[in-house]
Amino acid sequence: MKGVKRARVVERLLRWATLVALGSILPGCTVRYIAEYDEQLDTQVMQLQRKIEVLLVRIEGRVGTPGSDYGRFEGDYDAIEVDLRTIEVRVASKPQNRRTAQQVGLLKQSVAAMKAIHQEGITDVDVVAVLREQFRSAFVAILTLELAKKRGAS
Amino acid sequence: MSIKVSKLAAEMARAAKEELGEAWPEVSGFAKHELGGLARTMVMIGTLVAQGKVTKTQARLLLDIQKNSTRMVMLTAEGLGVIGVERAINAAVGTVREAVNASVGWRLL
Repeated sequence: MKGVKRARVVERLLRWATLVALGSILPGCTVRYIAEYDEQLDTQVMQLQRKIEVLLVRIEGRVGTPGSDYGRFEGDYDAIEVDLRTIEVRVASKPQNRRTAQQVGLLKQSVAAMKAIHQEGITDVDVVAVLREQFRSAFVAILTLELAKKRGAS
Repeated sequence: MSIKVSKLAAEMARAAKEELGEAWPEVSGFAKHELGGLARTMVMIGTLVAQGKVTKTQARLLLDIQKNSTRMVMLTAEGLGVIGVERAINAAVGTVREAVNASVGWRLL
């Protein structure tokens, strides 16, 4: 009899524990393993993408002339770096945003690498074509994940 | 040495499939498309090097950017998989919501 009573108590406790666990992991009745969609981040990333595209178009149009020298584009790189740092801070301030934070870190490294390539001199438009495709993939990756967070919302 | 884009893209997709495991069906469309683009870029870098259009340092830097972009694509694929799991759990909870709320007598879920 004692054993049956104990089993009932355990069963009741387990039932409640399950409900409490469900309630605690479901604020607003949904589980969330990844940050929510951030419209401002979406806009900032698109603006940054545009800045990099403008830079690539300007370099492309001047390849083979002194107009493509790195020194003429220093201001553009500075502006891009400022944008990247702003985005980095915004992304870091959101909980459960590890993947996007990593992506922004990688994008920062890629911009630094592009700057170093430019400092050595870009002598062929095909180099710009490669950079364009690489950055396109990078931005598509960031924006696809961000938009998926929106669709993931219930 | 010529590298075929389709072969490289298939190899990259195979590696991604192994890495992403069960999430692969959910993310394969995005991953295959983007990795295909990156495979093309990889071949373009090889051509630039062969034609002497970039220095060794520049080639290494282009490869660094390539690795970063590939990593970013993989992070997105991973994230899409997580969002898929989230959706599945929320759908499952949705199906038991009414029963649970009725059993406790108040709106728990």
